[in-house]
Amino acid sequence: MPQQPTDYALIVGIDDYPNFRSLEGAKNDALAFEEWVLDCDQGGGVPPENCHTVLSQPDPLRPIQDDIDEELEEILSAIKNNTPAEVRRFYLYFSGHGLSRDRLGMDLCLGKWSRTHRRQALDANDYHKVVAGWGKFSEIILLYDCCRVRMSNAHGRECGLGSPRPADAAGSDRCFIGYATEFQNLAMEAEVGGADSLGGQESLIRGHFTSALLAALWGGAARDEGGVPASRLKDYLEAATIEIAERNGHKQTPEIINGFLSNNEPVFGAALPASYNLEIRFNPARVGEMVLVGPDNQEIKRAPAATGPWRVQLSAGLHIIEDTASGDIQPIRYEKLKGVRYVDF
Amino acid sequence: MSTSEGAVDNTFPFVVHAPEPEINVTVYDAYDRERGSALGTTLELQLPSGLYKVRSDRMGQIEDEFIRHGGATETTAKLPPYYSPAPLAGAKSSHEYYTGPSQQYSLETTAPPLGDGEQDAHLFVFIRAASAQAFHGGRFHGELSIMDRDGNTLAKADESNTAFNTEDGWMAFSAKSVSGFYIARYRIGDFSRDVAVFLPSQWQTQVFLTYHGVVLPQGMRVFLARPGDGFHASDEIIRSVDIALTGLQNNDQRIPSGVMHDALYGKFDNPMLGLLAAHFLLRSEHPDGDLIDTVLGNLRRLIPDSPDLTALEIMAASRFEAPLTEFVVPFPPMLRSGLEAILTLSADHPQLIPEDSLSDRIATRLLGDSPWSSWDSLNYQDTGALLAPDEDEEVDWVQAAVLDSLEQILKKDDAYNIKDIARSLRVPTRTVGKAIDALDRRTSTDLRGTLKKGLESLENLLQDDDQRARIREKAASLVSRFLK
Repeated sequence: MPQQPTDYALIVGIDDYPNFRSLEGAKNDALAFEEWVLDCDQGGGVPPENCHTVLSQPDPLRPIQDDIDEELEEILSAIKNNTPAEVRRFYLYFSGHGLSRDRLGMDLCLGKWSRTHRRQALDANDYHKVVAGWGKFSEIILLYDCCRVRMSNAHGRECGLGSPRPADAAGSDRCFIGYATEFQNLAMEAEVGGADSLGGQESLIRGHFTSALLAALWGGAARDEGGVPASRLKDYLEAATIEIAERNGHKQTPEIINGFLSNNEPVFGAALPASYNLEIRFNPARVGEMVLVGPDNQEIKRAPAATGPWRVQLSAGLHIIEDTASGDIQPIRYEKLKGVRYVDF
Repeated sequence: MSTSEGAVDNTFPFVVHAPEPEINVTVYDAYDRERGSALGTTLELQLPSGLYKVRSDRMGQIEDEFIRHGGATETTAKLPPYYSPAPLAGAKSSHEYYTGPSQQYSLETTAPPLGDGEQDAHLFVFIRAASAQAFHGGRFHGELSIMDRDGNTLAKADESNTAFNTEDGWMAFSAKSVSGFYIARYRIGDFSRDVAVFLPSQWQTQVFLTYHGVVLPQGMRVFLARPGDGFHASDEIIRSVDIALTGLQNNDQRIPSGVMHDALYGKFDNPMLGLLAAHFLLRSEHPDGDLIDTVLGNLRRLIPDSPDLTALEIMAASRFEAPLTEFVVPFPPMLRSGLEAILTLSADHPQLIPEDSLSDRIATRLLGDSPWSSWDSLNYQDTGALLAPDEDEEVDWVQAAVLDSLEQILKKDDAYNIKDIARSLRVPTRTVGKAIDALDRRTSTDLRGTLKKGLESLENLLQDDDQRARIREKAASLVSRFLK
C-alpha cells in the first residue's frame, strides 16, 4: 500500500501507573500497532510525520493530559487549512487502564490515576466529539485496549481542545469503535511469543484485544484482493479476542461498533489473506485418529496422533483440529507471529 | 436458496434449537460472519458446506460449539456453563456436599437471634468454596460480622454460631432476626467492606457467597423465601433470580424472559423477582407504566418497608415526572442501581438523602464491582456512632475531583454550578459543598501549587490577551476563594 498522506494517527500506550497497578504490555502493544500503522507494504501507510505516539515514562510521570492534547493539537495544526477532501482517516489507539461509567464510552486512565485521583483520565467520548467536530476526517477509527470496569464516582476529563462551534462539515464522518471488553468487564493481557523459538521473538505481554487486532490487520481478516474491510475486522475481533482470552483461561468479550455503510466501508492496509506455518503437537494421552479441517469443511489431514507433531501451512479462516476418539475439538485461527506457531492439543 | 444464476445450489438446512428460553443462539461462519440469531427459539438457516460456530449466550455467559456442516444439520445448542455462589441445580459450581447443608441449615438456626424485638425475619448466610478440592482444607480467612443499622456489631461468624465443614469448605450462619436494615461487614487484613442487607418481615433472606482464599462479596447472591420453606436448590424461581442478577451484574439490557414471565403471570410471590423485574422494566427505553404500577403494587404488599421498593418508587416517579417530595432514603437499598439512581436525583432533590444518614455517608465510598450496594467500611466507635472524618486527612477523591472540576471550569470559562459537579460525581450536592469547605480550610502549599501549575499551563494555551486577562482574573478569584 502506498503512503496515505491523508491519514493521521494518535497512539498512546501507558504501562506506568505508580499509584495504581502498573501494566507490562501496553507500551509494547502501542508500538506494535504503530508498526502496522507506518508499514507501507501491508499496513496503514501513515506517513511518520502524521503519526503521533505517546508512551508512558515513570519519572517524571508522563504523559499528563496536556501531552496528549498537544499531540492532538499538532494534528489539528497540520490539517486545519486542508479541505475535507485532503484529509481522510484518523486512528486513535489507546492501551492502558480504562474505566467506564456506562455502556457508552469510556475513560482512559493517565499514569497519575489512582483511587483518589479518579479524574486523571481522558473522557474518550469527548475526545471523539472534538475530533469529529473539526469536520475534517471522514473516517474515525477508535481502538481501546483497556478495561471498562465501573468504578463509582470516576469520571474522565474532557478534551482541552474544544472548538468554539462545530465546523460546517462536522457530523459527516463515520466511525469504527473497538472496545477490548464489554461494559463492566476486564481486559486481560497474557504472555505471548515466548514459545516461539524459531522466530527469536522476545517474550512479551500483549493485550488479547491487540493480539486479535494485529492478527486481523496483518492478514487474518483480509479479503482475497488484499486489505481488511471494516466489517471483516469487526467479525474477526469479536471472534478472535474471545478465543485468545479463553486459551489463557480468561473471559473477555470485545464490543465493536462499526458505523460504516456496508457498500462504502474503509479497507485497512493491503495485507493479503494470511498464510502461516503451524505445528500441532499432540498430548501423549491422545491415541486415536486426529483430523484437521479447513473453513470449507474439507479435511486437510487425517492421521493417528502418533504421527505428530504435524507441520502444516494454513490460510485465513477458522480451522479445527478434532480428536475423533474423544470428540474434543480445538479452534485454530491465524495470529500474527513470526516463524512457526505452535498449537498444543 | 440459490447462490447465483446457473450455480448449483449446495446449501443444506442448518437448524439449531435454543436449549432454554434465556439463551440467545448465534451462528457464525468460518470467516466470523454472523449468519443468523434467535433468542430462546429454533433458528432455521440454509447454509453452504463449511465450518460453523454456534454460540450460546445466557446474559453474558457464553459457550461456543464448532460444527462441520456438509449435509442437513440439526442440533441443540450447548448450555453455557452456569456458575453461581448458590448451589443451584444445574450450576457447574454446585456439588451435593454444598447443596445438602445449604438446604439443611436454611431450615435450622445456628446462632442466637439478631436484634431485640419480634423475630419476624430470618437471615441465612452460606459461604462455600468453588469445590472441596479448591478449598485445600484448613479454615476460612477473614471475618464476617452482622451489624445493626447504627453500626453496633450483633454477631461475628465463628465456631460458636456457625455450622461448618473445613474439609469440603462451607460455612452456614442462620439466625432469626428482627426485620429491618442491617450491615454485613467482611474484613480481611486492612481491607474492610460493608454491604447493605435488608431483612423484610415474614421473609427469610438467603445470602450466598463464594470463598476463594477470600470471600468474594462482588458475586453475592441474595434470595428471599418464606421462613418455613428454606432454600431449595431446584427452585426455578430462584434460578430465574440468579440469572437476572447475572444480567444486572453484566449490565445486560435484555429483560430475562423467565423473570418477566414469573413476575407477571401468576407466580408473583417472590419479592426479589419483583425487584429485579421492576429494575429491568425501568431500564427500558419506553417503560410500560401500567406494568410497573402492577409490579410495585405487588411489592408494596410483600415488602412494604424495603429501601429497594422506595428506590424503585423514586425511579418510577422520576421517569414518569411525578413529584419526589415525599421520599426519603436514609438507608441504602440493597441493589446498587437503585442507590445510584437516587444519588443522581439527589442533586436536584437533596431531601432524598438526609444529611449524615448512612446513604449520605457512604456516597463517596461506594464500590462498583457488584449489583449490590457495598462500600469501603465506615469507621464506627464502639457505641456504634460514626466517627467524624479527620479534618487533617489527605485530600480525598471528592476534593481532588472538585479541584479538577474548577480547573475544567477555568479552561472552558464556564459558569460554576455545584449541582453539575455533584451530578457528574454522583454524590449529594452537600458532599461537594463539604469538599469545597474542606479545600477552603486548607493552607497547604502543595495544594496551592497544584492548582497554580494547572493555571500556568492553561495560560500558555490561551492565545488571546483579553481572554487570558479574563481567565487570570477569574482564577485569582477562585484561588482566593478556595485556597486562601
